[in-house]
Amino acid sequence: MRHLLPSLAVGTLLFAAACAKPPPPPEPGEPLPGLDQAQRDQFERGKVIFNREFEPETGLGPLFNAKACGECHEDPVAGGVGDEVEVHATALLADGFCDPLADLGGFVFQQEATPALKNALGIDKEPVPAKATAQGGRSSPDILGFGLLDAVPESEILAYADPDDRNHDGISGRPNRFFDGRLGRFGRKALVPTLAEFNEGAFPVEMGVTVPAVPDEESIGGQPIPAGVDPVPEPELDAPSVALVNAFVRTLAPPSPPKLKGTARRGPELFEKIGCAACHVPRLKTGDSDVKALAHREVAAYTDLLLHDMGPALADICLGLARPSEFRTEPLMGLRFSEKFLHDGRAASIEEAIRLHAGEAAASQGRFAALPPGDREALLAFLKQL
Amino acid sequence: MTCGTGRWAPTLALSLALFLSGPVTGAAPPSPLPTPAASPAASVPSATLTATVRSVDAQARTMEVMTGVGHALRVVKVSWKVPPAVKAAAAGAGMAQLKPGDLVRLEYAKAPDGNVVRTIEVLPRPAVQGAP
Repeated sequence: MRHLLPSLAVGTLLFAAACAKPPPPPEPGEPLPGLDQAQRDQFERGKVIFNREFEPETGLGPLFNAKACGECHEDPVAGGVGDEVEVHATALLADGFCDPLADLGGFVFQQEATPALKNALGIDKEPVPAKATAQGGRSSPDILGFGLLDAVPESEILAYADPDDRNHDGISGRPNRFFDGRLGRFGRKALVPTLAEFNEGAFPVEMGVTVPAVPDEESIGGQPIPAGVDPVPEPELDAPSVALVNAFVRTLAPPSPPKLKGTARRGPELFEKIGCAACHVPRLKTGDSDVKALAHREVAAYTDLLLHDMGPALADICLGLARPSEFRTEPLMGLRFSEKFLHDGRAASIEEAIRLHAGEAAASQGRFAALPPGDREALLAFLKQL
Repeated sequence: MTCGTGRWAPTLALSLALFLSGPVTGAAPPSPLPTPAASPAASVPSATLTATVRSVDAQARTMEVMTGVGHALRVVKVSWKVPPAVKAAAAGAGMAQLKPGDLVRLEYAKAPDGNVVRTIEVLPRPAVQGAP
């Protein structure tokens, strides 16, 4: 009997927990549910570095777009959206090869310079080289729940690919590939294979902060940094700090599921009916992960992480295998936080963004335009809550 | 007692997950930047790299490939004194067949005066699976 007592106590506690009301979903900016104490500690410590403002004395620049990760991913919380729009440029060559102009400082051309660089070269941003055949603006999306996108198996993404439109539905998603051949999924052109690599590359590209994986500074239009302009030794941020930022970003909870009320309740059905869901796939499933909270979960991502032709009016740069008019289906989770829409923030409303969809999305856009006003309002009400 | 036994499953799963889950930073992604390779016979360090050909200049005996981490992209330049061995699925492939956009695996020596390529393997582009 004495041995049964602890089991009984544990059983009662578990039973009580099972009968209790389920915990509310995480608020924006909170960690995924189900992390252990060590993982929550890493989340909190990573968040501090995510929000840390770098200065030239701590590694900022000499070229940069922002002083902190949290400067661009800030609204309504760390990991949210930002109002910054940065400049990307590449060259589509006559033989069809897309040159990202990496030898000329590309493909991200930083919009800020440290005082020392301004004094040395008289520039206040990195010039876009004449060799570029196109440039485009890039707004800062929210990254809430991106750890779940990172955990979606390649097979799940490739299952949606139909490059030759063999099923004749007018939608022909195809994957982008990084320069080593791996499947890409992050970035507006889906170039980057993993979230960790996106983060690690963002330190030098966005803040001019070198990290162990990228120990050399971005060049200045292809020219080396003038002597004395960047005195901090490389790498300017150590591996444990980078790992903590990765842990923070990876375990940011996705936005809570919308509580649809009124007309918005008809939104999901209309979303399917007019064909939005062919690219903005409502749910993806994650696979194995060393973080249990990321493994084998459904994520309401509203993306297939593939490239789709969006028509000539939206076309800007090529990148990797992505042609100028091809963009990765934007995840709609977190749409509620955005005030500007599309890859460069050119649309002031969701309705305008839909109207600018063309290419593979032209038929769906046409069906949206043909909806009765009440249905259009229902669909928009739904989208505003994602 | 109105609580069904089916509600135990999530609780037990959560308990197990909390107990078993490892550190978030445990997994390191593969580094796309050049990786050192053992080179017992050579006095200069060697490296291997999988990358995309950016340009080939047969006259100058140089080749540039694209690599990087995330959006931080880099160009790696390699050269050769004697044409390196080129392995490819297509018979008779050589340096003349290499073109921008090809996916290659390089083995090269990091000499003081630059990277000297030893072997080049042309890799097939991964197939795109998809809907029928």
